Amino acid sequence: MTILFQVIASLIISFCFGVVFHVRGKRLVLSSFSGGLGCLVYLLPMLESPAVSIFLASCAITIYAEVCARLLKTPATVFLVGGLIPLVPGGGMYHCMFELLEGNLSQAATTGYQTLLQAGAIAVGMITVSSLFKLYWELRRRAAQVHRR
Amino acid sequence: MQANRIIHLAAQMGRMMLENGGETYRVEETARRVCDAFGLTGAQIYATPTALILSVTSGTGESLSVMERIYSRGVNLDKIDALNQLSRTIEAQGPDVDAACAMLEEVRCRRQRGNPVLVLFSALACAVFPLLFGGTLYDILPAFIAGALVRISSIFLSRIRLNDFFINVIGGVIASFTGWLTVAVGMGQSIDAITTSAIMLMVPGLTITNAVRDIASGDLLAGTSRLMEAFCVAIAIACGTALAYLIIAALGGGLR
Repeated sequence: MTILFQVIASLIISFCFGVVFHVRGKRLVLSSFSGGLGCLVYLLPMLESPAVSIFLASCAITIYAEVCARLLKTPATVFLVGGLIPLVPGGGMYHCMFELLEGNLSQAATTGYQTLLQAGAIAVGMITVSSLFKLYWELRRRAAQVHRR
Repeated sequence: MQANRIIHLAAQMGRMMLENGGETYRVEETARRVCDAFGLTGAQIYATPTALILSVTSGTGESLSVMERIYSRGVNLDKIDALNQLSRTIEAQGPDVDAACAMLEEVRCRRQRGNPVLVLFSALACAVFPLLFGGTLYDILPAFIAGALVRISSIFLSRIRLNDFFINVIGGVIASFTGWLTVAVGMGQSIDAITTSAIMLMVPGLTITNAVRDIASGDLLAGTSRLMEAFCVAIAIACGTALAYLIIAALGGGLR
């Protein structure tokens, strides 16, 4: 139940960010689904570490975005950004600063490290998937060329 | 003469893309596609988040180059999409500079959502965030207010041309301060959830996305400068919350 609740919340957030980024029409609807998808993967119960969850969520969002981009002939960014924003560890950043000011240095270091790790996980997930997609299209293009000969 | 107009058309399209949050490789690809469509093959294009350089050799063997400096970087994914389509249309329809310029002007004048809409939806996004950050239903209204205030302040401050770093510092202050104040008067329950929700508005989501996509496609300089930009935003927000913390401590309150 809470999972459903949070997925819907992410969906609404992605929709709102889509509006703020001037996305329009059916692209707006599709871009909000990427937020829901990311949240769903992030909340999968068998994943222990938040960084791994974020990595997988970022992979899922990128796959979704690349497919939508192909289908609608639209830049993938349109579908990526809305989905990724709820994953960005803004809270970690805040807690890190907060603990630092409170004088809890070890706590600050831990949260800071986790925040960096999570931000990195988003990046690595995105790079992995979009590189694989690029590879796929390149291979298809070459196959088509060979076929034509 | 023709080559001159084409290179300016390509440069304007590239510029508009960079100003609205397009990835570097897409900008270069778009400009190249336009040049190719008009028969200016072998165009050299170099784009970074702050400048765009184009250089072509015209049919008579002259070298032409244009440089566009980019000062403002906003986000308008609708325009990115439209420009992307435009470059494909130019490619498909064949060379007609006048028609292409007219279409570019159409994209430039595309209707944008007004500021009230942006404020409303930013605030709505913030209102939902507490549910993900362990807040309660009581935190929704305070987060809505905090989000609206952060967005209004950033719109206003960028209008008077304050630099981005300072805009985010002030955003951080407003987020923390609203969180503290609403809890102090008994409106909200979790300072933490409210503040973090408002901070999420300033988080550089698109910048990180583009930085990663740039680096993945080999635009190292553009990628690293975007990463640096994202990092600066994070630092600015942290500075803002720190400042608010100190002010609140001086007023005799605490954020815990």
